Amino acid sequence: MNQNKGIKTPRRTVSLCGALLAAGWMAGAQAAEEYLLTVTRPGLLHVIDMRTNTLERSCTVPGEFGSGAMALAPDGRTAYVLSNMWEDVYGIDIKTCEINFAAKQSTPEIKVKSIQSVAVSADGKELYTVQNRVRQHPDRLEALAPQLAVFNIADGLEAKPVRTFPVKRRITKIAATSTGEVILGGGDVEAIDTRTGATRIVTPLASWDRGPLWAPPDAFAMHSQGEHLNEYIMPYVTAKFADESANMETAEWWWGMSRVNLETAEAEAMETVPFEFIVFTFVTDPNNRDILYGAFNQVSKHDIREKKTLAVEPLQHTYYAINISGDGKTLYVGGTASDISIHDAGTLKKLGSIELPGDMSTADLRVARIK
Amino acid sequence: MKHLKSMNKKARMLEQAANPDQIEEVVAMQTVVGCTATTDPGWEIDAFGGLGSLCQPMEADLYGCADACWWPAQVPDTMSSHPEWGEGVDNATADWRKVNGIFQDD
Repeated sequence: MNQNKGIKTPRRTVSLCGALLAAGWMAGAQAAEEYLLTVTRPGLLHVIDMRTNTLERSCTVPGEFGSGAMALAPDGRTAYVLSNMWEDVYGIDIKTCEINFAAKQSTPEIKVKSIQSVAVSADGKELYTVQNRVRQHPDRLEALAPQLAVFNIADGLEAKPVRTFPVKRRITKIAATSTGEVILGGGDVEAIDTRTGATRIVTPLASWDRGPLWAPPDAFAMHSQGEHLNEYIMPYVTAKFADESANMETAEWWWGMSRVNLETAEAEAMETVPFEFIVFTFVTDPNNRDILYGAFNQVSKHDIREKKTLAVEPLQHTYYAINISGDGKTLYVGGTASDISIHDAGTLKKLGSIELPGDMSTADLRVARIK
Repeated sequence: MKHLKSMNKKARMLEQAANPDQIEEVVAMQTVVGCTATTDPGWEIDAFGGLGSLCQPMEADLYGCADACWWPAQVPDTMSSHPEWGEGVDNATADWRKVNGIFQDD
């Protein structure tokens, strides 16, 4: 899953709005139980106690491995894991390993794949996926229109969609807001009303119109994080040209992001820091929302107010996913291979690692807070 | 194509796809994932013309490409076509020699 991506063209002024810090959440950060969750081959959900950084239990996930993307129940107790070759979602109690929910999306006629798209409503009652569907005819495959599927979590092990709404193609990670919408990360960052199916653009990316001096952003997000601040980040790369000749050689290259407050469904969009190296995932410092941490071949620290990269620490190999402890002191870097690298958020120096029995591949690395 | 006559629905779809007027409907995908043909560089050269931003080592990235059907031409697609490819090889960095090539059945 190498991220060397082409860059393209332009947009209008970027808005910077509301920076809400979850003060209540921060006050309780020390008291709550925190567990780091990820999935490895051949199909295990690992529950890691973040006080000791030790593996507390491993739960069997039904089906073939893939993808390991997951959403968390609001109480932190259940992880909803995308499994069985990106087709089924299983709800797993992280304390007992009991499977309390199953949404098997494919039928003999229609194969359904969800590309990392799984989310749980703010009240914990509904689960959402984006279904990419193919009807299997005897002599051909017919690509059907993608749709948002809504499941009632109370339906348990036989959950079927209770509502569906058409959505655009190429949607990856999604997240539910407290306002009853689901954020859709695709060509643009959009939101869909989970009752009516009405959609709106949250942050224009592929469709931005900032004039000829800005290249269209190349946005990418496979892994979900941001649960500590109830936010959603879609990073992108763009170029600011010196003139309308659009010369790539003299352009300024920038990281940017659409950061959505999932409490209010409002977004801030901005260029963040100069694009100097690939970053696969970003996470916000809970103590200072101007500070971002990133991971890929290095763990990095960025000040987006000053638009500077503050520190870079090389990693032993490529990692896809980053997350952070509730107190903002410890970074966890995972995905790809079979070890999670632990780093001091202040210095980025490595503190240790957690060895797992198999590769995480595309799996998320998420933090469950038991409330 | 002008000497061939489409006999079934699939053939008619192929004929439509070959129509030059359809070309404008093909757009580059911004998010490349899920068995999508991509012209991204592989494990050979990065976006800067160097090696520093490639996934390293290749073994760490192996299942990240296979499971996501990221590069279906370069790595077996475990999402749909070859789910058994990595069976018994849960740690690619240690055991990559145990994964086999994929050969088309005759």
